[in-house]
Amino acid sequence: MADERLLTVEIADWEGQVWAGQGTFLTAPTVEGSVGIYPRHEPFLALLGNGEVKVDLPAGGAFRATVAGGFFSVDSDIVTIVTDDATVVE
Amino acid sequence: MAGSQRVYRARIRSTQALKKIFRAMELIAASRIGRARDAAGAQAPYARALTRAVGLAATHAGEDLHHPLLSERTDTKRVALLVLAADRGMAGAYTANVLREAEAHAAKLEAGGQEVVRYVVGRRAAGYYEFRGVPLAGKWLGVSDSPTFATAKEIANTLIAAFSAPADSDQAVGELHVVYTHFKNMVSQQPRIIRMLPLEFTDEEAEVVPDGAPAASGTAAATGDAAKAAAQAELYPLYSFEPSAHAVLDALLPRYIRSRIYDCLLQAAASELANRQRAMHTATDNAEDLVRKYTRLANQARQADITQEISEIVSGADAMAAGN
Repeated sequence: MADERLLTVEIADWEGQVWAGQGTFLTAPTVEGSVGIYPRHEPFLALLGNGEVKVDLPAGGAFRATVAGGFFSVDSDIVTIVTDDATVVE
Repeated sequence: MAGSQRVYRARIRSTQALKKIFRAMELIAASRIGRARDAAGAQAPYARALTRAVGLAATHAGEDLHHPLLSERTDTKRVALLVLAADRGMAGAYTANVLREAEAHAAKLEAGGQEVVRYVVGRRAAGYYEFRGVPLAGKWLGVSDSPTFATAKEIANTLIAAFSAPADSDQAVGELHVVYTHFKNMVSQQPRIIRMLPLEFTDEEAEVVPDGAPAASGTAAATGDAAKAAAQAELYPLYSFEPSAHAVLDALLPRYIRSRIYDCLLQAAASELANRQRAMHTATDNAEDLVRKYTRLANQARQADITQEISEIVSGADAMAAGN
């Protein structure tokens, strides 16, 4: 694909930044169901539900973390996930 | 005269023991300040994203922005005053400063015909009010120098519940003011009073937002100036919300309050520890002075003893020589 745009993802909870990095695709649980975000997504602000956030990494593989409540915003390929409690899934 | 020497030696020993304790407390306070400041720094990304999101949602909620946490309550004259003080003393005038500020503010509110309902954090403040028979609506003890988010959540939930309570219930309040000590730097901490509820986006708060535009729109939205808010909204990209701007705002505002209260707690904790460090440093210095003073007195007493013994021996020898 010619499209080389990536998502810049930041996951934070009140204890601090949990993870920051880049990804090609992201899924997150919202209160109304799971959403998937590709680069060039429209600006978006949603409430997080409980579940797992998955970020597909450019080098292959994926980063996973479970989140519990909070919100996430997407703007100009910058994804900010702010949750009450995040746990990285190894 | 050997008695006074012994007394001085005993005092030197006990002062030296105290000095060690003061020094240890100073070092403990110093290391904990770092932790409190780190916690405040760690919370920054969360708080920043939250502030921005609240600004966004408020702008998009547009003209019919009527959230309970944003509206003035006219049905009750009760004002909640949250006082953040220390659990322990040995922090110089820290708690006294906070309490003086709080009581001056309470007096002002009461002069304005409002009824003050006090909530306190810290044993010293609770003790102060209980001794004077002032009723407390709520108190949180044992957390002042290492606050956790769980405590902040509990405090925020209690106060939000009071703010949202129906006017006829006996815990309803129309405003929430917080008295805490702002941590400017290691040498300067100032008691500060902020009005937290109903929410208003002042310029100072908005500075947390990275760029200027959301700050301005936050002010417009919060004051309910719909036309201005609409104009400002064009500065934002058009966001889509899930489930809706209102629902997002509903979920975010209590979090925002929690985060603000947590920030106040952390600032107060860092201030308390800085005050304690300073007080303990002074105490250590004073203990050193005392040790020096007592050492001098002890030496003097020893010298006096020796002089007396010599003169006794000499006069004894003289008497014997005269007798022969």
